[in-house]
Amino acid sequence: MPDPAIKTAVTPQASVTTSDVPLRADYISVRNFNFFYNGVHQVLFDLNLDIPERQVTAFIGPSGCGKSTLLRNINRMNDLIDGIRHEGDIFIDGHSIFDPDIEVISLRKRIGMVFQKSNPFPKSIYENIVYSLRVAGRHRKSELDEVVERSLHAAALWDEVKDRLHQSAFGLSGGQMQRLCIARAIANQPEIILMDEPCSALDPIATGKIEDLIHELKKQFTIVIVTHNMQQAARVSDRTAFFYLGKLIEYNSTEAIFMNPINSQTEAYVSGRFG
Amino acid sequence: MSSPYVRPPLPERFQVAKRTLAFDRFMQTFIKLGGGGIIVAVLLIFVFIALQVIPLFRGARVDFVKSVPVALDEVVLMGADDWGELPFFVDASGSIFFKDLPGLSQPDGGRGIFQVGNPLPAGFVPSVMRFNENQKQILFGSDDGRFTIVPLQYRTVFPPEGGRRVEVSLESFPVLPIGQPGYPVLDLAYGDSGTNKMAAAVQVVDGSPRLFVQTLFQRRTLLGLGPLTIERSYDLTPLLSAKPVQVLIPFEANAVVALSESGEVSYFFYQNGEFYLRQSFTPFAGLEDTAVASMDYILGDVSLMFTHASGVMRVWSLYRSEATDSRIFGEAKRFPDLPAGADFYSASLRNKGFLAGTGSLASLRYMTTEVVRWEQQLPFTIVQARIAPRYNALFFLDDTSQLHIYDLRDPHPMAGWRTFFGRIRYEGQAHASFEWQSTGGRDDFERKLSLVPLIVGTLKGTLYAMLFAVPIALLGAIYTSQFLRPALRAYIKPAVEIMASLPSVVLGFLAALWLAPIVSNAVPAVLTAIFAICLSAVIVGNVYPALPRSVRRLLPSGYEFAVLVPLLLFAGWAGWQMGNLWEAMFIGDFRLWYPQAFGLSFEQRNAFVVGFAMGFAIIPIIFTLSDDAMTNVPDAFRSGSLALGASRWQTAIRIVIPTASPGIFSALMIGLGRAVGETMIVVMATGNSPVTEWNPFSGMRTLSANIAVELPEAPYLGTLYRTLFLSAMVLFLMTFLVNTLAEILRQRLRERYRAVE
Amino acid sequence: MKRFYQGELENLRTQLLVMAERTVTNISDALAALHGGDIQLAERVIKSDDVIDELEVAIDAEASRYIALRSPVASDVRLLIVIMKVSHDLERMADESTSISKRVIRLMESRHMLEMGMLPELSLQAVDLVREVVECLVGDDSGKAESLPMRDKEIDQMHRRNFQFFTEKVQGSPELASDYIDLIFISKAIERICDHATNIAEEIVYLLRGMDIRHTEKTKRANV
Ligand SMILES: Nc1ncnc2c1ncn2[C@@H]1O[C@H](COP(=O)(O)OP(=O)(O)OP(=O)(O)O)[C@@H](O)[C@H]1O
Ligand SMILES: [Mg+2]
Repeated sequence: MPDPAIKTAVTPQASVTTSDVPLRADYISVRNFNFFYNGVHQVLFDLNLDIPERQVTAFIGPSGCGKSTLLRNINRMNDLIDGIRHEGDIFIDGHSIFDPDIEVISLRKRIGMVFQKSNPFPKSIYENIVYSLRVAGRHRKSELDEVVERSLHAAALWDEVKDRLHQSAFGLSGGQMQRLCIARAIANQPEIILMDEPCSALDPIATGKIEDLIHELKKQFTIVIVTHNMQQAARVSDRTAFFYLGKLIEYNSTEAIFMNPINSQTEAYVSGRFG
Repeated sequence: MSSPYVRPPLPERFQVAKRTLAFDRFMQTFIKLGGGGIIVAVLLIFVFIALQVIPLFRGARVDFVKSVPVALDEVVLMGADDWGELPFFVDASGSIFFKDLPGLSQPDGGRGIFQVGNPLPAGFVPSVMRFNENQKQILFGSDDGRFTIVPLQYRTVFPPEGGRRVEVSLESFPVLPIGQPGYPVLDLAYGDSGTNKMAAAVQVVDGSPRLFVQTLFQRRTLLGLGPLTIERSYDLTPLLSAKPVQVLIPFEANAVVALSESGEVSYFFYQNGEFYLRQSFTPFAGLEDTAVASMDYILGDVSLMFTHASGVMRVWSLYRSEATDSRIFGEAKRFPDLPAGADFYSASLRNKGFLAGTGSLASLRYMTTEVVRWEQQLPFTIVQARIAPRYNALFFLDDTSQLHIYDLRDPHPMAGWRTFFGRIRYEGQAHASFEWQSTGGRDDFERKLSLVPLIVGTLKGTLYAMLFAVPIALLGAIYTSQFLRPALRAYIKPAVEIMASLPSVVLGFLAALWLAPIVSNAVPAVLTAIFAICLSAVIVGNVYPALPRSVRRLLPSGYEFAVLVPLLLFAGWAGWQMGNLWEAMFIGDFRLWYPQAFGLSFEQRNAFVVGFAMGFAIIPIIFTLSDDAMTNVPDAFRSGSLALGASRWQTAIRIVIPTASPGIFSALMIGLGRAVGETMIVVMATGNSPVTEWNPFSGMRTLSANIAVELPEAPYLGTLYRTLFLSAMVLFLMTFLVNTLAEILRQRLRERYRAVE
Repeated sequence: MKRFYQGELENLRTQLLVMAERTVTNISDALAALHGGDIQLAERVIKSDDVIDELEVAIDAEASRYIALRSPVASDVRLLIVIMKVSHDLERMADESTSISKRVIRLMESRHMLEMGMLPELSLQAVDLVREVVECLVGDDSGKAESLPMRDKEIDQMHRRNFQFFTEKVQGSPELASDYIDLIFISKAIERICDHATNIAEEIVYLLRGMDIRHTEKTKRANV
């Protein structure tokens, strides 16, 4: 009798693949990465980790440990902040994202991002989703229609909103808005989705829907999720990285982190006995 | 049954301190009162302005005061002194009687009806009498071809027993012949401009009427005026096509207007000692019977009021005709018909009003606005009527020689919707137009109180100011809030805000004395410089992204201005030079070329300059408010957009500006409000010429500037004074309207772009 | 709403059922070997016990992984606990059948004629009980499961009578002592199997009803 449930969780190759190219285990690769705010205030210390392709990697750790900072470095959203500085490098698919020849806009097009607080634009549902296409100069109606339907289906939102695509996105519930933001993030077919506490403002049902969605999405996308919810990390992720005070304390398969952590700090954190 | 439950007293720790409650309540009422007070204050201002304005729209009030008998059998002519206290009556023999009427409502002054000497020499049998109201002269023509003039000298004296009395004396004037001796004079006119003196008469010679004119001459000697002598006589009858019946001479004594039996009016102009028939016209050409029942001058002797036997009333005024390049008459006004041709007529000496009527109907009308101020069927048959010289009473003489005195209260005869907002063909003009000209050089000046040029001026000033300010302020705000390093923004914003506190007098002063001469000397240079700056910005914007990244990396994002500003300055300088160059090459001097090319005037202090100066006044407001609005757009929207791969510009255009649009809109409206109400800059930096045109190189006069300029000169509670209040009200309503519309729109936008909370 | 990891729990349940089937097979095979004297069958039972052990390990690992990662609650957590307990019980049952098989082989090698006492009835009862327990597990039948512990009384009785019977035989014919001692152990093993089956029945009730019927008045009285 086959038992796929066990194997899915431990072997990356079990994910549904759409191409024959083997999936990279170091799709996103952080190397000796240090990060400073205001030039001197170091918040990330010598990070090294590899994030596998088409898997869900969770960042956990106490508040202020730098999870968001690392996440926002992956699509260089930190560029907007005055006085930041980094050392080391981050590679996506083998290319440095800090390479001067890389256009930060095109980098961001490859990486969808979902924020802690859902932030739909003050536009219609439809326009929210096609935003990334419009800014890329794609305006063909048929293409946009198709993208909207596909993204909403992918975000499990189609049935709920298909009759009011042209109404304001603000009429949606919190969970629907967050799924709309996910739909928006995947509309332009990125390769990576970064999620910074996507469920922190949602009820368990909405959270459950989004977790299921994440589980679906990992067939296509490489997902990095920051969460404070241990169960969530345990449920949705394949690998988990535990950060503490800007340092990567332990990085392993989620099972290992939650069942048999090597580091006592990790143990204390995941079991809720921290501090 | 449940037992009565006694609630235990609330423990002290749950109780709210009495002082807290009291203070809370006090502040609530205080704030309510304050808010209410503001609304009440605004309303009161509005009410106050309205109270000042309402009288403008009231009609004339005419009230009967009293009737006094004039103990004369037949009164041929009636007139009054400036105060209306000593009217005179002339009987058929030419005797002048005065009647004492001190204060309209008081019993007569005790002098009763009296005479001051007989002005006419023996043997002078008057065949025609005319009263030259303006000069207070009575003209007499005799039945044997002579005429004389009796000037009335009125003066007030303050007798020792107290009070005040009007005294009168008659001045002497020679009896002069006119026309053919021995024939009776049918109609007589006289004009004296000081240099020109002229008399005209219609005389029946051998059964056919003839028109004679003679110029008079009075030598000025060291000892005073010499005797009045006839200079030259003219017989204008050959120039007429029909029999003359009436003749008029304007007070300038430079023309003669003759009316013929058939209703044709001939306008003779006197020039270089000759009379030329300049124009013949038939006022009632359209009617079956063209005969004119009456023809009279309106104050200023520029307009003629005609009535037809059927009662049709028309006014013809002199205007400069383009076709003939001379001043001729043209039909200017049409009035509602009277039941028949006017039997009596009196022109106001204060304004362009006149009193005319027939039978027992009296009608007070106003020429400029073509309105009937008052009209009434009086309980007697009117034979003579006069408007008191001060336009405060009406005198009617009935067929039983009773003098009826009516009090006239019509402080603002020319006010009305047409005056303020309509097109009016003023005297001397070929077309109806909107004009503002509140004061003129002479008493008979026709006031022009159209608010339209002022409204247009206001809108024009606002338009050019906004044209200049809005792009700069908005683009500046977008740049500082979305692109500039926050650290630098912390310096820029306060600096611009300080600019906002610059007194507008200073700006106006700079604009008038420094900017206006520079700009007017180099309009093409300025325009080219502006164009060059815009163009180079666009070019840089397109070229920069195409540069290799390695080059672009030299310029950290947020410091683009370091390159852009010198570049734009250079572009501005280059544009300036080029502008001067092409001006010299192609058009010579713009100031001369522009009026020729476009037929529009060019003034040094023009709307263009005001646009600049006022722009500087409103840029800071629009800038800082819209910068705030854009900075306050939730960061989540910006990061959301950027994370989706939008550029900063796309984020600004597609997300930040729409979301901030209510705030930006408010900023624009506040800027607009400031521009609409701005006074000092306009007063100083324009020529304050109230023109109704959008020409950027002419001046303008705005409502607010007009108030500032004219209010000190406006007589308290006079028409002008109230009209200025009316313009204040228009300004008030304009801003109110704009603000209300803006608020409605803003609320809509806010509803639409409300951030989720 | 069905969560994406719901399948894991079902798989776990399926695995348990597989294990139960195998255990039932082992027990009935072991008893068949006993009564038929089939050494080959007995050997097969011994061999297939390894598979059951492996299954237990796998089920344990998967269940604890599920507990650690999926934070189950309510019926899920009962199911997991029951699965773990039941798998343990099954494993013990399979062990008992292994030990029966080993003793069967030894008895066959000694080639004595032995009296079986009530062993055949006991075996029939035991196989029947085990089968019914597994049926309850498969069919989520809490009503039947509740009634099963009653039958344990009867089985204990039979085992006690067997014990007396074989003890007398040991005393009566010392040369056959070791064989009869084997039979006593076999009887004991069958009794143990039935105890485990009873436990499973109780766990099924706990799983389905959320109530613990172990050591209650009802079952105690039944045990008396
Ligand atoms: N813009 C900033 N400027 C300066 N310091 C910052 C900035 N953003 C974050 N920090 C600091 O960097 C550290 C890491 O912040 P970060 O937001 O990455 O934490 P986090 O792990 O995401 O925390 P949380 O779980 O609360 O979101 C914190 O000490 C924080 O104070
Ligand atoms: Mg964070």
